[in-house]
Amino acid sequence: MSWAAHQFETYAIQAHLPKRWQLKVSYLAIVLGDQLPDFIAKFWVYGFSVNGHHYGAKVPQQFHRGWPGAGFSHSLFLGFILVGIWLWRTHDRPWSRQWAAGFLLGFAAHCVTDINDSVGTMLLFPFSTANFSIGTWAYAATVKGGKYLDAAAYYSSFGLVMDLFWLGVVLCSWRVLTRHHWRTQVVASDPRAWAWLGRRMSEPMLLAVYRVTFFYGVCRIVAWTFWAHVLTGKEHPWGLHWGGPDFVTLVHLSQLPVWLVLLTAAAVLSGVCYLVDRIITGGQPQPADRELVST
Amino acid sequence: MANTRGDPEPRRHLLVYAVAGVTYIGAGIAEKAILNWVMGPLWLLLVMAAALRLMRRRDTGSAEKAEKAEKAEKADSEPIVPPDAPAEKAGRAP
Repeated sequence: MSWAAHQFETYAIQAHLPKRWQLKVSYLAIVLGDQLPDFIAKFWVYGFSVNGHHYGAKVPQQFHRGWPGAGFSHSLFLGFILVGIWLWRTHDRPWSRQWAAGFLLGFAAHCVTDINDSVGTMLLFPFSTANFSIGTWAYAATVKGGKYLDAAAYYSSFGLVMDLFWLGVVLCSWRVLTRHHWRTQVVASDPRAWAWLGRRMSEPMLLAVYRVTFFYGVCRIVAWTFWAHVLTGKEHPWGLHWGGPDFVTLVHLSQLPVWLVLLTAAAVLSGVCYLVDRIITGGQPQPADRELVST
Repeated sequence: MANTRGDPEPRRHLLVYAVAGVTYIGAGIAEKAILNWVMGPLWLLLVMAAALRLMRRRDTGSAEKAEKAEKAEKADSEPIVPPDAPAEKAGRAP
């Protein structure tokens, strides 16, 4: 699984929306779509203990990403179903399409980012229950180790590099974090939701709401890396190699060739982009297209 | 939408993010249980709300102080009319 990458990719998407999608994708919906898969599945993956009895998934990787289990939460199938229901219920509302497009983009980003761990995601569910993974780092959620071992393993592996990569992407497009961008792009593409929040909060608070996932992402990278390598460094040696770190057992649900996984992920993302475009434009030609047609 | 490029965000607001980040990281390292989706975002929002309230109170306090000082200054600069000179005050001709 990915950690802070899921916090940063929302800003990366927002910063790099194609021109024809700008002001037509809700940022709040991107966040909702990006966080939903883990919101559904992760609590039970780690579980909790009461009076020495552990309640949670017996085989975390199977429950989190597999079938049978809650692996459908990391499949685009769920995203399509939810967006379909959303559009069906709200198609007459002015904000319906912005939210559907944002949600689908965020959801797809989460599902595709998670192919990096050794368990991967069921990208083609329900047509196939195979898990697509390129195994960049070891999936480390275990019954015994829980969240802490998972964090230590992730921040000892290429997972940290992944988080830093996404942080770099956001920092390279730092304007996405400015008040100017928030006012002119984020609020303008979803004015009703921000106006609703604005009736309850001042502008600096609204800006904090917008930046809160970035804040949380940065803090969790620093805190977990410090904990894993400064406070408990001897227990968690670095494993900056493919499939690392070595202090956790590498688990898989399926083992597909990497080229097939990458090809499928690219195809899935292209399909999502096509769908998002259809949602945004409603199949109508855009002003730029019209110019092309008329010339 | 108004162009806000020439309207920078107050530095003290940005400082609040830094303070919230440093305190959250420190607290999170000391107590890992708070490093989660709920506490992380909540931490920033609570620190920001508290900081904004403090700033507002400080601004109001200093504005009141300034107003009081201005009033006092005005009172000082006004001519003190002695109680036994009503005729002069009324501008009676000699």
